[in-house]
Amino acid sequence: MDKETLFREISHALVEFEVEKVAELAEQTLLQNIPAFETITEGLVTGMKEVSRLFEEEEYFLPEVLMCSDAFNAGLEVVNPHLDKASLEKPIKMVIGVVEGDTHDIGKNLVGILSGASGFEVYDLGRDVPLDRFIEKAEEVESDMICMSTLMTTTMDGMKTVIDRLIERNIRDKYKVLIGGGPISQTFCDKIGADLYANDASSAVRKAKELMGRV
Amino acid sequence: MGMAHFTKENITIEVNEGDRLSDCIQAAGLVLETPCNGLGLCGKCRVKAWGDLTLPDELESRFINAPDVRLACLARVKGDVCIELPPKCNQLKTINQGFAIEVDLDSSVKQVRLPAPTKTAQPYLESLLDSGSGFSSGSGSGSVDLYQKAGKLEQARAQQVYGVLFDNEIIDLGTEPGEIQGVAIDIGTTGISAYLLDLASGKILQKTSCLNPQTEFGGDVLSRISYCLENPQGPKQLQEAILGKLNELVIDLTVDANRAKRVYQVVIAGNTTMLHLVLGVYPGSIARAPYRPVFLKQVDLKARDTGFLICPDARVTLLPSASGYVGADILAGVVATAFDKKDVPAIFLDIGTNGEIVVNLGGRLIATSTAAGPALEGMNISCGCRAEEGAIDSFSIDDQFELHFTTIGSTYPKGICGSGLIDITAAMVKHRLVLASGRFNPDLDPRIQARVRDKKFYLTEELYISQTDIRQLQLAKGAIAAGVTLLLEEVGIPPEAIEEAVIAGAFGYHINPESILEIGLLPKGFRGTISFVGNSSVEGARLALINQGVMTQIKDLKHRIEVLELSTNPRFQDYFVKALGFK
Repeated sequence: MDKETLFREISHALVEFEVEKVAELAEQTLLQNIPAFETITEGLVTGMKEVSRLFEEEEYFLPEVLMCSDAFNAGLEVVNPHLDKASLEKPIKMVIGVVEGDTHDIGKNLVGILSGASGFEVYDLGRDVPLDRFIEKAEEVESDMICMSTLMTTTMDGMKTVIDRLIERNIRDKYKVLIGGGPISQTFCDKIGADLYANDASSAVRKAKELMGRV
Repeated sequence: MGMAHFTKENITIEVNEGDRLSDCIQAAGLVLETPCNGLGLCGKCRVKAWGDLTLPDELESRFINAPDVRLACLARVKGDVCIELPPKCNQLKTINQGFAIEVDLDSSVKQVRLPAPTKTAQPYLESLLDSGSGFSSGSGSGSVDLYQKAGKLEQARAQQVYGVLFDNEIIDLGTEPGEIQGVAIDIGTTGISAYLLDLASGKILQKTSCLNPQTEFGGDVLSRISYCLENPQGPKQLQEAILGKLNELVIDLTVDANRAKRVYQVVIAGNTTMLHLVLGVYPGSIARAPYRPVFLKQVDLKARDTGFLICPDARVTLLPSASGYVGADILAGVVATAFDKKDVPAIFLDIGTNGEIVVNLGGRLIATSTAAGPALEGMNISCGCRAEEGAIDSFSIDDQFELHFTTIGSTYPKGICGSGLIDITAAMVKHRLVLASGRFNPDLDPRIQARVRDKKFYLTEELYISQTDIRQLQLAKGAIAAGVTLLLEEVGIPPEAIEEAVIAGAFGYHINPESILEIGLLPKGFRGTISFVGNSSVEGARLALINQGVMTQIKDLKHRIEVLELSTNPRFQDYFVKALGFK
């Protein structure tokens, strides 16, 4: 199989969530001395882009997306040890968590998984995260983005507090702030001065990349 | 400053620039539901409005489709405006009955003939309380009302006195025997049900139900709590709204205010938040991890301290709750249906915005609540509506792919309520309009093709189910099924072992059992029987009112029942994702 066909096959198997097939095909790329970097960007990431599209068009739902990201990770595990780190562009770093007072984290987990599968470096703070923790962690790892989620209307104001504290500390411009979750809307995003709102995990990743100038 | 004129009601009020239309409606003393508490998410608060208004923003434009139609929660006043409210909201079709076990009459309230006043200088009421006759006045000395009633006896030179006792406490005095009545209430987030009972016989005298007036402040528990977070007067306003309505219901039930004074006990069941709000207690902490309520135990108060316009010394009891999200409504329902006494493995479900689940395995009771979202109540669904007149409430597709449906009140279909949504989805799964994954089938039977356009299944010219609606339903039923699975795992039995599913709630009454199984609202493997018990919460309140033993049972249950928090359970997500499909 030539390189292009192999990449197409990988993307295809990933979209069909054939975990083992993706891993096998990834092994083949190594046998053919194809650089791991190319396999990731041309095969795996291309596949995940298609998955995102299917999700946004409602063809795919959470279970399919999670199975696809399993397939992505299976392929990544095979080629990752052979990756020439210098060939990679610096990954986008994101600190992500569910804001203080809320423990519903499935939406946040999905954004984390998809971001990871799209090459982000994800620092997941979990759920019920004290508001200052977002800022501390972002400062510590020199993050590019701060992502906050909540399912409950009662805790959404925590997002504003984080942004206000960033402003107080004069570091608002260092970070792009992405918010999402059941009760969150573009209006709320505008109101509290966040940079980005997305209404599902897949568009969150796509919009985040666009915002960071990576398409 | 401008004027807002309500065209239908012919009311004009002064309004301030920047006021939202919903503010104007409230200020005029009119009612319009704002289910999402003005977040601009649900689009359900459409009104006609014209005049000096802000232009619709992008968010609002998504919801408005005709000239002069605006969202009351977003459009703001700039000067003079005219507002036309939608036709009066329909009566909610809430099931005002439920299944309950039979109990003997053993009420705390009794009427007795008291010893007649003697010709001494000893005050009559005090002599009753002092004489070791076994009577008390609760607080030690009588209440102002009781002294005034004793005064009236003197005025009438009464030779014969009847007293109403709560336990052995004198709570009313009169020269004639009269009715002794009690009121059982279930305060649901959406609907309220109330029964008037004759406490001398235990019989139901009258029933009534209505929409919870707090829906004006938000359709679900969380948006009402949010209202309290944003408005310092919130708990007070919500309390006034509910108390005003409860007093109206009492008058409805007793027909006149004098008869209402012969109500001697009120027992209230409801979810934990509703119970907080009926006392005007700040509910904010219930909606923040670790989800801590202000109180859970049974609360016993005098009517005069609660705002109930009944006999001032009457007892008002709020039944106990198990946790912030497993409320008195569930405990009352469990006891009313004797679910706690089942000798086969069984589950109890109450389906609403939060789905509460109780599992009984050989007397071990374990409960949880799961954030199902409002889809099963017809909200967040493109053509969804509450179970009110015109709502499609049952649906099927026959072998010839002809559609059959019924609407509440047999009127022109105006929307789809929860039970309709479940039936429609089940029919779509059965006839392969949607696949096991929930995706619309691109390869349809030719006989149904014309009804499916652009990933929307048209039931009528106007009403449809979209792919997004199916996804919403999947999330709701997935949350419930995953909650049940996790509880079963906790007690260590598989779904196959469950012999009975008891479905409670006003909503539960109309659902078709086959549809429940078809969409997988219960975990795969469940083969037991499904029974519907209707509003078992108000039934529990009724039983507690006529039998003191039941009241004690509910109290005991509060201590006995274990509560599991799902959102922090590491396995919940896995089960949830697995429960999303229609396999």
